[in-house]
Amino acid sequence: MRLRRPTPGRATLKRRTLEDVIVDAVVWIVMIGFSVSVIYPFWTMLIDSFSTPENVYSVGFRLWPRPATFEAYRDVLSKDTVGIAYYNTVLRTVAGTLVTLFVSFSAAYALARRTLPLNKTITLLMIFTMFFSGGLIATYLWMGQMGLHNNRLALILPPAASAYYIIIMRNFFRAIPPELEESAFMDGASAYTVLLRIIVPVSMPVVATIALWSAVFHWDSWFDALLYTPKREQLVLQLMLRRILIEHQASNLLDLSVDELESSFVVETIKAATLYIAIGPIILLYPFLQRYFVKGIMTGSLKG
Amino acid sequence: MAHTRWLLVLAGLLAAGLAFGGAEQEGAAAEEERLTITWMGPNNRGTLLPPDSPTELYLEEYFNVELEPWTDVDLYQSDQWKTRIASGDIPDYIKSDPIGSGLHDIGAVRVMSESYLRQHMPNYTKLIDEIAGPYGWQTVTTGGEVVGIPSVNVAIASGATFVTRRDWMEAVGEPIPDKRMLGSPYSDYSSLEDIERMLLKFRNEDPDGNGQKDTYGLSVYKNSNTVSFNAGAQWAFPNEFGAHGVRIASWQDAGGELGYSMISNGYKEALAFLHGWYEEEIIDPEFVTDKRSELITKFSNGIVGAFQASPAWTGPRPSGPTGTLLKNVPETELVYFIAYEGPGGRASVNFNPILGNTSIGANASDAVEEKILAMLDEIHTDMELYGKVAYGDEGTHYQWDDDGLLVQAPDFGSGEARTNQGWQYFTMWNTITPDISRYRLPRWRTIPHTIGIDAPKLDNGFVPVWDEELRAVVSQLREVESEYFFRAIIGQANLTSDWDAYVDEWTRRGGDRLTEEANRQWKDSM
Repeated sequence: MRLRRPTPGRATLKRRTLEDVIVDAVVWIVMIGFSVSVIYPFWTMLIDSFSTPENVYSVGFRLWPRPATFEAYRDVLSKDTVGIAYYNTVLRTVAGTLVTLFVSFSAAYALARRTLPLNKTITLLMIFTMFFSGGLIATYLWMGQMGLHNNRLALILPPAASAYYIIIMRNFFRAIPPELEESAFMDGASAYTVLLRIIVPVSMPVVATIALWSAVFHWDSWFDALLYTPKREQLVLQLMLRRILIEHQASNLLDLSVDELESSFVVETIKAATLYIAIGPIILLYPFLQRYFVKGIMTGSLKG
Repeated sequence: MAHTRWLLVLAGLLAAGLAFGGAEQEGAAAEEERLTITWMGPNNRGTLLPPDSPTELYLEEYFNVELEPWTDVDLYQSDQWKTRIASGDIPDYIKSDPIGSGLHDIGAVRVMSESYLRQHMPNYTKLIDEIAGPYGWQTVTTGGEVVGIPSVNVAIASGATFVTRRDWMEAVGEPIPDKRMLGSPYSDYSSLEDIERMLLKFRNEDPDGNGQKDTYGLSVYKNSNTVSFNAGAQWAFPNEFGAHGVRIASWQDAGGELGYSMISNGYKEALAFLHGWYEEEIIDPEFVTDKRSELITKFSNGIVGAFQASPAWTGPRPSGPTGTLLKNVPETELVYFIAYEGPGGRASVNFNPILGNTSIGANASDAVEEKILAMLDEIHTDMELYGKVAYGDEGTHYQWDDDGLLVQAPDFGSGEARTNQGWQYFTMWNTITPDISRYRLPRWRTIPHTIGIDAPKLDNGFVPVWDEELRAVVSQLREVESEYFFRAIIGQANLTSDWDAYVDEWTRRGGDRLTEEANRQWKDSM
């Protein structure tokens, strides 16, 4: 098995040495081990989600669920809260990502112009927010004064302007050769035409990267939802997942009868199925955006 | 003169009439006054209360109040409701311990007094006295002030039970106890030697008959490695320590001074004893890292033969370790033991019956506070009302079976269904209504509760109330204690040479301050 694909030119003529083989073998072994260590927990959770509760507690290694059942998924999907949580999560992810992209792109494009007045001051103020915040209580009070308690905008507006995203994007824009814009201006293009017809298309890698980060952030967030949109009809997936995975692990020694204990004892199959229902869609996004991902982050990080 | 006299009489009558009429009107107004009460009463299932639940509407009419429950909080989201409270939005009733949650420290709860609570909750406080005595009040007192409403869980005031399986006992020739209750054999008397003999056989005499030495006698059922939680009664070999006269994490009278149990000689001896069991391979060596799911697997698949825990977990349940075992091996049955005789006497370790204190928010008016106390007093001491608030309508949502036990209708068995009805949101944490809590809840179907309640148990000792600084010390010391507990049992710590260093470390890291403060409070309370 060859790790490196032959490239045209002299490299194709070079014979592989013993050192190459050994290095390849070590790299393969390490990478396979690493991949297994990452994939195995996901796989076992997937098996658990398709197993019966008794099967989960059986002894030994299981590669497949025996017997396989959709019972856990049926249980989870039958709860009306799942539909509510999906709706709210998709809504905040789509809206939040679009708003974040718009704000970040606009701010970064302006900051990329070195001629912008107070450019350095604005950048410094932005960087300041990466290190210091107003604190939990003050932020909570301020959000209340802005009328954002029990308001879905509380999940979208605060993360819309991320200093980190803006700096990444600004660095990307600064790396675009100025000749591209200059030639367009010389041909009579307006600033908006240059932005929409030239800058946006060449910025797709960094846009995709920030979109992915922002989408993952919004999909995974629960604490802001817990504070600002805690009502049942505003429930998001990760909050639902947290409740199921963590909270029922309490020993429940309070006022619980045996029957009540039973209902609070969430079986592993339900936990596993909930986990997959909650993380499935965002995991599926990765393969489609991966090709932009590396390019975008590298370009944005190393320059500027 | 006569005219003047008549005029005076007339004026007097008029004034009296007006005064009487006014008073009557005031009385009517007071009668009609409908207080609004904000209520934070999350349940412990993490399900959110819908607005206008049947129980809320019922209580509003019954007590003539306007209830505004916080429908978007649950017990486990403390960051959420603490942030809300810290920002000044304080509910009138707070279903959270004012001291443990730190709410008293930030001035979010009202300071009351014992006599005030006795005046406004006469029936409830009588029950607290009967069940917990002064111990109940200690847990809501800090700095000499009562800052909350004490709560007592009668049902868990029982010893931790030891459960094993009949087929293994028969396979190794152990006698099955002849007492039976609710379908299970049990022994309310046995010695540490009896248990040790049986567990050794589980390890050495192939109880599963597969020809391999692959079984262990005992393991633990835990979801945390903090050994001192609930005095270790939840999982930390409670009966073995009990047989050595030790109640973990307790302050006991040691000759006129309070001493901490986890630095006592009895504790050291019990650790040495358990190390012996570990060396003899009675204890599953993976007990250090195993959590509940591993114990379920091991107990139900014939790797571990016994465990001990709260009666809620050792009872015959549809799932969990016991339920899964009975599904895997339907022909076996569960066998229970409690309170073995050991070198320190015969005792199990009692669960702490004080759980779930609650409080009144700092912004509540006097009238609201009095109303809340009156409501809680009646709800918790009137069986009919308690049934309604906690379980719904008799006949529709629950009924009494032939044994007099409360049975809930299947449609209302899930946590979500109960929350939707608003049950147990407007009660305190625990059922202490004697007629219900002692005899009529389904938990009494389980034999561990039944035998556990009467088992001899160690005294709970004195329970000091720590301020914020000392609570941090306690938290740090729990790590020290838990680490030494495991290291001593598995032999990484030498009880002869390392013990003094452990006690020194415990003392140096704040244990001396705890001892001093505990003794001060203890002497003050006498």
